[in-house]
Amino acid sequence: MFSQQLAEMRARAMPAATKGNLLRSARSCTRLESPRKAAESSKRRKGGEKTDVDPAGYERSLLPAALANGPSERLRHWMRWRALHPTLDRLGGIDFQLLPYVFARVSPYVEDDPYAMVFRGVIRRLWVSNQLLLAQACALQKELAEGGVPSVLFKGAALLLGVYRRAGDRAGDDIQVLIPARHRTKAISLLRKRRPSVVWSGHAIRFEGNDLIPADLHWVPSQWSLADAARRREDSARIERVVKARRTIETTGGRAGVPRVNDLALLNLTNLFAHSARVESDDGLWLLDLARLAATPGFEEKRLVQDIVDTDAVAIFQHHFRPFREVIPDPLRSLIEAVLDAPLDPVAHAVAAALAQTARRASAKRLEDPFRSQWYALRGIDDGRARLAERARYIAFCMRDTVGTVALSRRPHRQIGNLLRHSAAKTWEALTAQPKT
Amino acid sequence: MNDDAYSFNFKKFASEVFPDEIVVLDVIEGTYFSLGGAIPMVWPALIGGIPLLEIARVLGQTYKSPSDELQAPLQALVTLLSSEGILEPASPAVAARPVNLVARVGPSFPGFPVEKHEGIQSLLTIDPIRDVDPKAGWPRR
Repeated sequence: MFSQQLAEMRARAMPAATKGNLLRSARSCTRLESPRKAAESSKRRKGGEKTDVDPAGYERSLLPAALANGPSERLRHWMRWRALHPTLDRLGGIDFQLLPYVFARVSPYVEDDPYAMVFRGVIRRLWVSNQLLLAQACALQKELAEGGVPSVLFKGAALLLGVYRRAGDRAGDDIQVLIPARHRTKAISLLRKRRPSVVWSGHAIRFEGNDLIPADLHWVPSQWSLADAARRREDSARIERVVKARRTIETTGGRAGVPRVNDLALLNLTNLFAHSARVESDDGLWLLDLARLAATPGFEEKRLVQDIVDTDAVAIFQHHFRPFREVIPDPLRSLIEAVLDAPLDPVAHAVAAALAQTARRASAKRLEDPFRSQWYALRGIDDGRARLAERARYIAFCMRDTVGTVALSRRPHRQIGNLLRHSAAKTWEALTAQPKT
Repeated sequence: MNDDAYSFNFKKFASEVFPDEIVVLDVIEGTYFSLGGAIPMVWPALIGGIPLLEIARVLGQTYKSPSDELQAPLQALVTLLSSEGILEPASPAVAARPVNLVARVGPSFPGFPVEKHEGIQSLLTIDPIRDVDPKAGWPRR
């Protein structure tokens, strides 16, 4: 019997693979068929509904099932979601992202679901693509280490290794690696050997080529520290500490260095929130990431809140946390409450309101998200004695000094308005990447 | 059949236990293996250094069959997985733990079916919801 099965297996076997096949496979899993991209193309093809994770979209998405406390609550949310999507024809990006995680946890109770085997296949496929991602991430870190550059992974690969623990639980698109700034020249040289195509993506240097999974090299957690020398020094010192305190995790293909759980939470969210485009494409997956981080042994809620305060990130965190205050279940809700209760510089708050007002005049779209591109402007607010007008001027000059000429008017709110109009035209990322002279 | 014991080659392969199957991936070459039938039941013992004779004996008890009848397919499975590099010879000292086969057991021995898929690139381009066999799921079309 076995020999017959073996013969059948051999008959099904496909032509021999090569290393090139694997590398192209790894690339294709991010370029062609990641769940997010599949969702986006599906939406384009079918005009499917968008499940942006505002609180209303949250209720329609798989997020409540992912964040549920206990199997019965999770199953209830799953059944409700399945009733909304009986044929899977109109899935939003977040649902594709969360499907493997949720189904892995409800599958013992829904074996009669007509799509059960399809869902299992989705998990298998994600597991395979993530294993290839992790193997390449380990190889990349090994190359850096052999060149004398210490590093940590963060975002998807680090979450898979240090938090989720199962490669089929969460999509990881590309490799994000963080190094101390003093090693950046060496690191760039090392990474170019295998990924010769180099692109400045606005927040990191992206290395591509040879059909490898793209790798982003970071040495600041987000770009706002580029606007302020003191902030830059402070962030560099913080990254030195994060890299030094990294932990090593064994996985197939080698060892990976990942940040401690609190550092990983701060890095991931800071990097995400600094760029609204990334927040939008994340679709709310950060909520599950944060819930899993908070449930990981060693996580300290008070320390994360203090780190958010210390890095002047309270306003942007509160902005993204606030819409979910009423809908997120415990224990994540307690963390969100703690961040929302964190001390916020009253002047920063006032200027944020002014930004929102001027944004309202500049563009209706800006009203939806006053931090869409203006976060860097708030970075300059550090003088508690100055009046709002003076601070606003300081912001404008700060931006002029660091990113090029910004048109100013005599009235502070107009100055901010001009900044907003510049950001609307080019975005701060573009201004920073290509400063005017 | 000899009394050899084996372990899993973690340096090159990743594995995951799914319901009714073990999936093994060669992360260097990109080869995908699906190990079904009775393999999930014997897998922890097989990669845990338990001697093959002992695994065959317990398997025989489980299916109420003479262990001699199960030795040949078990040996063939080990030969195949060893030739692929998935299993490596293990130190005999590892093989001192009791065998505990835990899985859903059917009325008859289902064999040790192994599927091998090379060229993972083409598999990963398959839409895992719309372009697969709905009764099997990815990677089976």
